[in-house]
Amino acid sequence: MAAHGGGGEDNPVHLNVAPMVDIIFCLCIFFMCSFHFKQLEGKMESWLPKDKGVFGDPVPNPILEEVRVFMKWDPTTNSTLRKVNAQMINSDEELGSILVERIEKFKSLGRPDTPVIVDALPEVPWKDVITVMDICKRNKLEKVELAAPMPGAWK
Amino acid sequence: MSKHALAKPVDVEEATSLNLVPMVDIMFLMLLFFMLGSDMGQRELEEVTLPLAESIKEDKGDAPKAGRTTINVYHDMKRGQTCADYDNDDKNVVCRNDDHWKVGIKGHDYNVKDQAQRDKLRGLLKRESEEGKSNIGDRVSERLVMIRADGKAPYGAVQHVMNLCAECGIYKIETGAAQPPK
Repeated sequence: MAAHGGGGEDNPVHLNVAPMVDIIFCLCIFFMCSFHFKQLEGKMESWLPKDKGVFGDPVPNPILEEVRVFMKWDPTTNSTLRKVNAQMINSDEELGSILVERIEKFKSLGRPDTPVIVDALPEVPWKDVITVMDICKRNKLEKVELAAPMPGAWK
Repeated sequence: MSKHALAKPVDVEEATSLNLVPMVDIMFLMLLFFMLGSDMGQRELEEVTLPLAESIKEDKGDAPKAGRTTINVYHDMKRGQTCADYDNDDKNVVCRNDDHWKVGIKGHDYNVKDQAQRDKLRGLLKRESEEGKSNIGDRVSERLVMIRADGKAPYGAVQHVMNLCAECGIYKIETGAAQPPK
């Protein structure tokens, strides 16, 4: 790469740019090989309860008057089955409208702080749990709790 | 003697000299682009495919006064091995081999199914939790924990991490998600 910089005879200062070009070329190759675009990452706040769970006393009988989304992995269809209390859910839109409807009922009964409880079995993929949380947030249901699976929910 | 033989010899040096200035300019621009666009700063983040969610807040990485810990739940194989379930393009095929799912904090891996490793992880989280307590003896810590779990991870793996956080008095949990393409 023996070459001179621009300017030719008009330029009294002759710079040998070849080493600089070599180094820039090496840097370019390094950054091109290690390059991957920054993924836009976000977050969802999901505070754990301070007064329940491992610190609190166990709940002897689960309260049935609540909005609980049960989730179970179905290996035959390779999909997650969802139901709100006892009602099976077939689509995200249906889940959103049912959750809003139930929470509105609790609000009209004077219980505005009723949470949506997500009750998923351990084999359910995390993305499906996030989808349910996302549906809640999109429908302005800010109070979402992640619960330990209730035994016997799918019997 | 032919006409060609009498012609003035070509100045070889002049004919092959290159003007490198435009090339250097372009290479500088490329260098700048790659330097600014590359994601080199976040060493504590493992390679995970985050689940997609529309209602996420942008994560600017800002930590509260009590600090922030990032926990990765990710698929990890020994070098040279592959997992047909995880590599399957069908998003509904999920790897359920517990040995393949690791919990990574600050460059260390833990398998939460292993009792000894879970105890180590608990110890680490306890130390992190202590850093976020304003008074010694406080039950809960203000330390923030960001859980970056792969979308294909079984919920049970994330549950283990959340349980350990709760045991250590950490209640401020954030879950990582990515914006779906528009």
